[in-house]
Amino acid sequence: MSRAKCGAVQQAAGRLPAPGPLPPAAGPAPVPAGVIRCGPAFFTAAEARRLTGAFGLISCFRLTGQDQWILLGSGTSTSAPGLVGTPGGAVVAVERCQGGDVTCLNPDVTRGFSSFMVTRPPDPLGRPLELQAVAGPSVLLLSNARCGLFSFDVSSLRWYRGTSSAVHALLTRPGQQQPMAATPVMTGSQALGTRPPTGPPAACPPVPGQ
Amino acid sequence: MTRAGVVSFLSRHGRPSPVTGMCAALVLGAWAITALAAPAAWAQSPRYTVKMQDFAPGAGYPGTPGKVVEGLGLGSCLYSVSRVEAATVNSLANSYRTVTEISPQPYCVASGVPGYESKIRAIYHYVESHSAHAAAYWAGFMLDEEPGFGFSASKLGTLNRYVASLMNASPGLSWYFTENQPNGWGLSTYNSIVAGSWPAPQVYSVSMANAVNAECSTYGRCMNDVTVDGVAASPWNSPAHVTGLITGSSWHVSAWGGARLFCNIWVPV
Repeated sequence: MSRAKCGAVQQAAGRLPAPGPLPPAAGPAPVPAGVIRCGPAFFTAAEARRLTGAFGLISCFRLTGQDQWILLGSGTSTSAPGLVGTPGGAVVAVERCQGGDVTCLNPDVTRGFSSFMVTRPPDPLGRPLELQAVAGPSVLLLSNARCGLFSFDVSSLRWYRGTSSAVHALLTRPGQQQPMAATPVMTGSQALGTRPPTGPPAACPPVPGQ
Repeated sequence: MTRAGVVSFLSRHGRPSPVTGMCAALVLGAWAITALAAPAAWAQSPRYTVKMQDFAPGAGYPGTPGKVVEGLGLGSCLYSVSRVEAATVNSLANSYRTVTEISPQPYCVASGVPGYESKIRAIYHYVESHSAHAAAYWAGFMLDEEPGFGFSASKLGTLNRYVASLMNASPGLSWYFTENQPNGWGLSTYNSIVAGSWPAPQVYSVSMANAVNAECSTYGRCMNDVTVDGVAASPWNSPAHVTGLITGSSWHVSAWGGARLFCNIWVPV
């Protein structure tokens, strides 16, 4: 490292900034205008614990203007050291709010996981399942560990390849692409009582450059 | 990795120099002092005062003081090099404090690490040659290097050494962060990946928090730009809650204002 770069990037030892004021709020992080986060009472505490125990790290949100709540479970334990899998594996779950039901669309209204429809990624045991980005109103870009990158159409609950060309095709010509093989969709209740299938995932392409 | 290992890591072309060693020692010393100075042994101190947050190339900027271009995997994945370049330069043109995030994945760039080196070098040269604000406002790259993204630790180490040597020549503060899942690797492996970088670990769970604190107590790397998942289940979407679990200090550099102490917010964009 050059002396100039060192001076630019190093922290001034012994001259650390004084502890600043408390953060302006102890609440949740800001989210962009296009994202509505599930509120703290979205599930009961017991249901939230159950979901975390079954599906691991949970993310939950809705895209503004859309009528689907999206829940992602990474399939990895929140407490065990390392990337330890959870009994239910990784999932993407979607709840539709029929007819713009304002109660359903309210992030602070408690509901049950049984109202969600659940899908598993092309490699159900691949973990962690990671949301990388959102494209358009209903396409999620997800990393399915070493199985690769996939896009998921929230409207059809189908999985597609995750290349930029596949995402573009999904956005511009929806319904005309060939989906990837994946396990059948099930209800939230069924998913909580079902372990992910074992065996070699058919939809995992060979990975170059690894 | 030992301190000597960190010194070696920071050197160019694998040849440690006295200046390199001195700088690495200063940086490590600062981190160690920060850790020891923490009055409450189980919370970042100084704690964050401001946030950086990601945005998609071409989309609106977040309202946070730090802006992170979410460049994703490049290659056959979202986004193209040119879009990432433009997003970075446009953000800098507004005098925004800017970071350029890339998520290296072998299924996006078939040529693997050499391909990423080429793309990162292209972005670097474009930004440096098209922005008068880069020296002051560009903190460089944030490499999202998660175990599930497909590259081995040794390949990530190769990429990081390259990025370190590349950024070493930049005129300003620009350097590189490593966003990572600290519990996804063994401790020594995690340390070898993040060594030399500004760590920006994802802390989405107790397991991740424990791994970050183990890195601090074992290797003395205690300054973290902690990454918080903005759509995680409560309370993991709260920066105050998450950083309250982490030892050491929040990330800061004098060039960006020493009183600006950052945490990093990930949101789906």
